[in-house]
Amino acid sequence: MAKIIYKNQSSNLEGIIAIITPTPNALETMTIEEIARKDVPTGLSYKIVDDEFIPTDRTFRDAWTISDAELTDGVGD
Amino acid sequence: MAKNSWNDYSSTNASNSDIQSIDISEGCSPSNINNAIRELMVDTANVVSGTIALSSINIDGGAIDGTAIGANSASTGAFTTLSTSSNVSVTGNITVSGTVDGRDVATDGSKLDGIESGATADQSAAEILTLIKTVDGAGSGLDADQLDGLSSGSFLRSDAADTKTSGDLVFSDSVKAAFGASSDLQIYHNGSNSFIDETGTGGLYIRADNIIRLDKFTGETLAAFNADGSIDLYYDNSKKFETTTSGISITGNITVSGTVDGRDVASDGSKLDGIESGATADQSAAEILTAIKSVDGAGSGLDADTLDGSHASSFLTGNQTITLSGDVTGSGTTSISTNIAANVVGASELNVSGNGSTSQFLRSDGDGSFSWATPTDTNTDTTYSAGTALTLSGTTFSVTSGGIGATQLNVSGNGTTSQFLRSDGDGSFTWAEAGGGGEAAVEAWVNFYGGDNTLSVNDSGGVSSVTDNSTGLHTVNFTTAFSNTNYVLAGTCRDPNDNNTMNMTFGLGRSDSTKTTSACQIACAQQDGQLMDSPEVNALFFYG
Repeated sequence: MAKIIYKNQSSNLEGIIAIITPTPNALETMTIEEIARKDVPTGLSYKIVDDEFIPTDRTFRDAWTISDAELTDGVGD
Repeated sequence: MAKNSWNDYSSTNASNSDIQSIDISEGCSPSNINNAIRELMVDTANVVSGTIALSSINIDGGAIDGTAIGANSASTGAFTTLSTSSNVSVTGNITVSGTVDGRDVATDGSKLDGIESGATADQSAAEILTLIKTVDGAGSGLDADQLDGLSSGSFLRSDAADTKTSGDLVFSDSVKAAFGASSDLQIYHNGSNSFIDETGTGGLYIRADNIIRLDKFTGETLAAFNADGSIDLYYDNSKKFETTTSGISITGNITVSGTVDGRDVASDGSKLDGIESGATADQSAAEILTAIKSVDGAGSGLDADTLDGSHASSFLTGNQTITLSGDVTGSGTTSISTNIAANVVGASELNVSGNGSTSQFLRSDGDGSFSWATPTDTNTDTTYSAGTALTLSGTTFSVTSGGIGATQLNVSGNGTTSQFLRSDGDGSFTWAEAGGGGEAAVEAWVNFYGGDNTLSVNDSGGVSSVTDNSTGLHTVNFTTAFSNTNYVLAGTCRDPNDNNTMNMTFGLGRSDSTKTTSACQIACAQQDGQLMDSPEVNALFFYG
């Protein structure tokens, strides 16, 4: 299942990568692109990736990074 | 060695032992002395007469023909005439005030200074030509007086205006006179025909101030183009076509394979041949009708388009398919003994016995016939049923238990968002607010795995996605936004080690941004407040 990633900008989480997992129910009526635009905070760029893209070792979860240049699939509404 | 001449005599007296092979050594006979003296006198005479050449003679004094020689003037000699029959060898320079062999050697020598070493004066014309051919040609600067025996006046200049003064300029077959940078215009004869070809930029203009004529070589005119005048075309020197101020003038006949002003003149002419002289085209309709009526009627062959305004298709014919577009009326008995084709007769055209009554419909009886039927029954004593669940008896509509679902239940009005259908306890339903009685509904819920691996949603309702923000910190995104943020969160988190209790709270603190109408941030933490990923998170969102 694909996931949506973006960089959090809220005060306590600034710069930490957020990973959105769409629910199976939502995917029956919406595309992942529609979910991305709706659930990514307004104005933040996102990228849609495969599950394999997400590290499984969460020991340093908050240290995960991604270049802004790779967040090219859209911007949250 | 015998002493045969002065040249053989030795300067050592002991070596002179004979003269002319006559022994004069000590103890020789007296006659030898006499004979030797005689031979010596012969040798001396030979020296005087010059028959014996003297060698290695040093004359160191005296004079020759009055010119002093010898020690008094060792290297100077002046002779009126110096003659020798053999070579003269001179060490040093020779100064000649006169000539040598009649030549002024100094003057000739000055000329020789300009002649290269090895120069010869015996080159033949062929040798000279060979040498010249090694340096002649373009750029050599060799300016000949003639070329192939012709002077420059016999040639046409290509780089300057020039005039050919005599003789024809002839081009052989297929050799072209070409004009233009790309040989745009070419004039030539290919052995069979002559051509003027213009193949380059622009057109071919033949211009004249007076007249342009195309003539046979004998002088007969083929065509004449007169400036500010006519264009004349000839056939065998006889003018047939001429343009004039008003148009064209043709001498003879015109044959047209097409049309003139869109008309086939030949065809029109043939028609005109059939028109009588004096025929008029201004006959009135009445006059024509009168004329036709004199010949119409049965047997006349007159084939009209309509009869009393109706086409032939409006009339019945006895042996053809009949197509009707209007009403068929009749009196008495009208019968159709043949089949009516499919799609020919519509419902409106099918006349069924009787008129039926208002609101009745024509119903197939299933046997090829139709009859009038009533679609509704207003009688109160008639019972209708639909399947096994619905019955209508008189004015009472009944639904058997379990026979109708919510979607089949017709309730007055559409209600509003978040209202639900509530039983009034008397068999009727009305729209009511969800919290109107203190109740609250679960508007969204989600169960997901948020453990030490990739997050996955097990099931949900009203939730479009879950965001993994950080360790133990997630955001639940609602499919449809709440009306406000006064919804209630309830949930549980499973401890990953199964030996502690975990709490679920709203986000990280009191920031309103973590709880909005469209999303709610939730945190899973241990008793000491340490956030932790949970292998099972359950969250419920109530709204009244």
